[in-house]
Amino acid sequence: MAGSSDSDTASADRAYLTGVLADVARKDQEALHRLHERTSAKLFGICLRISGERQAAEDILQNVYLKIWDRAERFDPTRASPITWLATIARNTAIDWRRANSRHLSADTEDAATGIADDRPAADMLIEQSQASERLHHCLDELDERPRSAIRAAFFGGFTYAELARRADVPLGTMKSWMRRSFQRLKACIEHG
Amino acid sequence: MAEPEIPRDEWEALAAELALGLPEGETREQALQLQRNDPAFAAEVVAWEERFAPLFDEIAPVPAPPGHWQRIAAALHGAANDNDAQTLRQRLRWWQRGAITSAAVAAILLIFLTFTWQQPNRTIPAPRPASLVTVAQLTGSDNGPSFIARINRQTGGMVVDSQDVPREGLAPELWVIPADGTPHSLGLVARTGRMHMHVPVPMRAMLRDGATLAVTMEPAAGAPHAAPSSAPVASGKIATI
Repeated sequence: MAGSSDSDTASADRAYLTGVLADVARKDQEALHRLHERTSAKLFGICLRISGERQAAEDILQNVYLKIWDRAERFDPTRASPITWLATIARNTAIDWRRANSRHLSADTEDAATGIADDRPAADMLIEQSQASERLHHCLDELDERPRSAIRAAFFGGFTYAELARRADVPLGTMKSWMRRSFQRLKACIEHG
Repeated sequence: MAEPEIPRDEWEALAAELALGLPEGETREQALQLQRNDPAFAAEVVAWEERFAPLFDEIAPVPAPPGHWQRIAAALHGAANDNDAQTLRQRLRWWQRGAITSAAVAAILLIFLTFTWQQPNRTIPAPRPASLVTVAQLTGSDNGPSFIARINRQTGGMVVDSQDVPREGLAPELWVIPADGTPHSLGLVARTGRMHMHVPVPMRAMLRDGATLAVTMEPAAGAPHAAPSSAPVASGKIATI
């Protein structure tokens, strides 16, 4: 099967991180240190990408680990994968920062955050097995170009509906119906191929 | 609580929207509340987060700066030894540490205010801005609630922009804390979005440079309250522009 080594790595990461998070939930500070060693590059990359500012990203990253410390007991390994859970906290924290601070700062930041070009996936700490990744990208490719790029801009830039509509120069209602139709197609495609 | 019901057939789309962070304002509040209260909806949000998660792999890892862990350990150490209010202050620092960012925000606000400050008394000729308009950026800890308050001390007009207030039943109440340290309520503010308020004459004098504005979460009933019942979720100093 394609990508078996990625798959092995991903499931080993998953088991390791799930265990470490359980220790963090018991307020084991050394466990948080281990988690930081293992995941901080991944999460820092996310903070940096979304905030577009290095100094801010360092502060955001610190807050991310403090949130993880507070919320680890709420992590449910039966519902979410640990790295997605961690990455989502990083993304949401960076988006919060962006909405609170940087929206008006510079167009450069916006461009940095939303660069649409694909970066090459890094080899370590992959979120998903390569099959899941391929499936998502295949299904995104099936969408029309404009909703696809809106989804990517929302994911990487943290834009709201109103901002996406403004950027695409379409009415809010149009953007919403594009997206809602795309979500349906995306889900059907991911689940049924 | 009598919330406007979100039709069940919209849950799927709403879950995807929330996972991406698309909704704002009231819709976002309702979605977050649904996420907290309904495990089935919460599971749909997680499912969408998982569907989008492979996109994270397009973001290249970047090594965290040297000494980053020590900062976290220091913050945790401080938090473990301090009471809640001090913990909050510790957490607040991360927002405030980016001095460049804060300065930039202040500068942008200044420009923003210069061009967008709307008051009914447009006919008053060239007011002295240094004595009229005060601004405070209030930042908070965990979920990052934040507020920007702009106050025209002459007219008592105040505009408060709120973001990311926890969607608890409790409502955000704004306080001014002058030099004597006693909080005075300015009333409830929005959880998200903009609220226009009016500051009564006796309180305008408190809105001076260096005074603190703070938001606590309070029961909506009975506001404005005589005193806060909890620690602030966000606070910031007033600065005159």
